Amino acid sequence: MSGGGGHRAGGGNRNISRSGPARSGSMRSSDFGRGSRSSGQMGQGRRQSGATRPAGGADRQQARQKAQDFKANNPDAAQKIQDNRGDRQDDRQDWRDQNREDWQQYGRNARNDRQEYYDHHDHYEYHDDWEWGENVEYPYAAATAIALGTALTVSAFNSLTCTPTVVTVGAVSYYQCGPNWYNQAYQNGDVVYMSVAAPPGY
Amino acid sequence: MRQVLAMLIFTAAFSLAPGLPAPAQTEEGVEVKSGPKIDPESFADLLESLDFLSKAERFSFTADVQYDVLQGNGQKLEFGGAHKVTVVRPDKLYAEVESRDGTKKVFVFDGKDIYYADLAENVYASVPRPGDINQAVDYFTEDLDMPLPIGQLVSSDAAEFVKKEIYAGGFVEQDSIDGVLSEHLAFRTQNLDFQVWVASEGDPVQTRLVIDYKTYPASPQYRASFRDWNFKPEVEDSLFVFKPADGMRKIEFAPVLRSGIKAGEKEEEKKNDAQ
Repeated sequence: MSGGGGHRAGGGNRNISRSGPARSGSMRSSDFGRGSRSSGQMGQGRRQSGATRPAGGADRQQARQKAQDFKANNPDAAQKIQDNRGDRQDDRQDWRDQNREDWQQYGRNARNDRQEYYDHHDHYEYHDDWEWGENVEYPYAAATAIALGTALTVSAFNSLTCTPTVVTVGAVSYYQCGPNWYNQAYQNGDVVYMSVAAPPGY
Repeated sequence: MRQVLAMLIFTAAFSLAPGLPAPAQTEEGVEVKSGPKIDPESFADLLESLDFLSKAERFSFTADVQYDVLQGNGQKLEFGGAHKVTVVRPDKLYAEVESRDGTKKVFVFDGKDIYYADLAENVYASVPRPGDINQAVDYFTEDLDMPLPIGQLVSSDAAEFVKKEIYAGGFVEQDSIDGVLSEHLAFRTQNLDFQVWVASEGDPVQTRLVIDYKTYPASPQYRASFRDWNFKPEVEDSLFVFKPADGMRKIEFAPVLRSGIKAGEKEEEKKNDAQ
């Protein structure tokens, strides 16, 4: 609150989520509810592409493995995360309790939406380690190969422990970091880095 | 008097047992949805507003938008910005979004292609989508999974949504929104509740809209105030011609890129099977 500007000017905290159902301003459940999306190839988006939602089953196991790899490769950063974890877990428990009470009042008709909530909850849980407003690390080691189609936020991409090599093929820029290649893409209104196959010749 | 009467109807309606909506007619003969929990006059006001906008051949307006985003720590944060929108029906739409943090995004639909540019990141994406504004908005928000907060307003099929989804609602009070006398109406659907303010005099434009996404944790809200409505805007054709700025890089929309990845993987599988 010192009003000095400094690092706050230009850019903001990219660990903060700016996406959510209210961002769309839509009234159609297909736009914000996800569960009733069309079944066309293009419309499968987030629901079908498990690679972008590190939540549930094999994906969560994969996420945990990546987090473990990260800790093994970055012991100092992992300790810093651990130091902050206790307070956050208390907060999260309060949040869960509060939400549990809130959700109990919804009727049977909200069951699908409630499932969506748990999907989201898992999503948040995965991001447990990057509480907004702190310096945090992303649990991907640059040397870890990730599934094609995985999307990293700009913040997560910038946190990778490598200096990306940029290769332009035609009009498309490819960013190489460790064994992975990325293209920039728009996802939910924001720019992300999506894991893609290596460009021809690489 | 009209408002007092409507208020009484609304208050009484909300205390009644639920029942199936029944059709009703306004004095103008417009058939509107009605029922124990729906005030027909308020519903007619809403439909009139939507119908007015869907029939306007060209218009421009500015929307001051705020929306909540629930963070992983359980706190809701508010983001927002100003949207300057120009519509020329049936197939031209320009929207310029300046967020509070100073970043700027531009949406252009020229009847053939959709363009979306992020000036801060210096990137843009484009995708062919011949058709009208409704089709472009649907494709952009549903298939490409991109937010277009004013999409619902400029799409002419909004009336179909409210006819189908609203199960309760009515008049709240008469308010002044940025100096414009407005009817404050509130409606409920299964997935969301919303409040809309419609100008009491003159063109029945919306002056404010609040949506509660009640089925999501912490019920995030979308709030928008509308101003500078102009139904005779001077619009240059060049507004709908997208020209990337110098050095601006072209990227894909994520679903398009992901679709290409899947196609590549299938092609690879076929090759492996053939060997």
